[in-house]
Order: sequence, then C-alpha cells, then structure tokens
Amino acid sequence: MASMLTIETHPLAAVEHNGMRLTAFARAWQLRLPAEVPFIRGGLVWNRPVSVLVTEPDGHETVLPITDPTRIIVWTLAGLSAALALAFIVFGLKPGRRKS
Amino acid sequence: MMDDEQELDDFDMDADMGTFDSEAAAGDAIVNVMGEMLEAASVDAVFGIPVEQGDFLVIPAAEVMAVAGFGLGSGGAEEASSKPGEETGYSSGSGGGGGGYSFSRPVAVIIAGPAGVRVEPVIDLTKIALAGITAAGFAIGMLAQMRRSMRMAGRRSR
Repeated sequence: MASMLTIETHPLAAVEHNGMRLTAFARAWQLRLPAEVPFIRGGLVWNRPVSVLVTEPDGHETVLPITDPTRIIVWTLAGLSAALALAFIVFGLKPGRRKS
Repeated sequence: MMDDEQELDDFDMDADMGTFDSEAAAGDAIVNVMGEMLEAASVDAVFGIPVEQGDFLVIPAAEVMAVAGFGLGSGGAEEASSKPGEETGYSSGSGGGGGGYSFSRPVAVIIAGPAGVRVEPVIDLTKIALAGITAAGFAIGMLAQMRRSMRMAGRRSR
C-alpha cells in the first residue's frame, strides 16, 4: 500500500538578480486516500513556502526562513482555547457541573 | 401482459452493461478533475512570477491548499414477485457525489535589493481578529459558566 501522507520539499527555478541567485523552496504535504479503498477517492494538498537560499557572487550562501505570523498567531489562539477548556475539565469546573 | 413480455424480449444486456461503462467513465472523469485540482497546489502556485522594478526584485509567496474527494456507490437486489408464477426481478441503482475546496493566502514577499535580500511577512489582520474574537468569546463563555457553577456551589454549601 502506498504511503497516504507524503512530505516533499521542492525548489523553484533559481532567479538571478544583481549577481545574487535566489532559490525559493516550498514544502508540500500531500494526503491521499489509498487506491485500495473502494469507491472513495480523495486527497488534500497543502503547499507553503519555507525558505529562500541566497547565493552571493562570492559563493557565500544564506538561508532565509519564511515565517507565517498569521498561522502562528491563529494556532496559538486555538491552542490556548483548547488548553483553557482542558483546564476547566481537569479542575472539575466543567460548565454546568454542580458541586454537592 | 404481452407488452411486458415484449419489453423482456427487447431487453438488451449489452446496452444495459453500457451504463456501467458510462459510470466508469464518469468515475475516471471525476478522478481526473480531482487530480488536476490537487496538482493546482503545486510549487509554481506557491511562488508568483518575480517582478523586477529598478534595482529591486519582488517574489510573492503564498500558501495553497486544495482538498477534494468523491464517492461512488451502487447496489442491487432481487425482487420477489407478488404474483405466483411470475419471475423475480432485479433492480439496481448507483450514485455518486463529490466536492472540493481550494484556497490561497499570501504569506510573505521576498525582496531583493541593493542592500541584500529580505523576507517581509504578510500579516492577515482580518484572520487574526476573527480568531481572537472567537477565542475571547469562548474564554468569556467558559469563565461565565465557571463563575455560575462556583456561585451555585457556594449557595448549596450554606
């Protein structure tokens, strides 16, 4: 059975500018339902930029990461909400629960 | 009754099997559409065409997500005749459905200039605000429930 989840990093064709060479990389997460599953087909592809490799004229290479603050903030808020809900459950303060 | 017998005589098995061929063709078409949709989220879709303006070069970068799925189903059953002596019939049916969703959101801009290369992130304030409002509403709701529970517990203990 082929792997359902594949994670691959692909480079974009290098771009030359002012003697510098820029190579951008994107990481693709691919989730596909196996072909063995009858009558159902489906999949998900999530592709996002990860870094840029800058090669200077003297050959010096620098990798610049591409961060996504929006995703970090949104997932942090979601995590805090989940942690808050978990804390209420763990400490016996589940909503609507009456203490005898 | 004669008409029914005539219909049975006219029943063409090959033509009937043809419907299964068309179902298979429809399935293949759906698979192709789904494949094209998923391929749309390729690396070429992540990075835009570099734009050169004077000494600066700008490459837009976005995250791309595509989700697609479909299902097919078919079945059949023999039907017992209500009248004695009549042959049993066979009925079958098939159906399918599918859907997909794709989106793209700008993540950053790569800027190459005389001072070097830098990556400027693109912050989606609307998305952050919506997530913040949702999280705050959830937290306020939970705290209100907690206070109510504590107040009720206090009344009971008196």
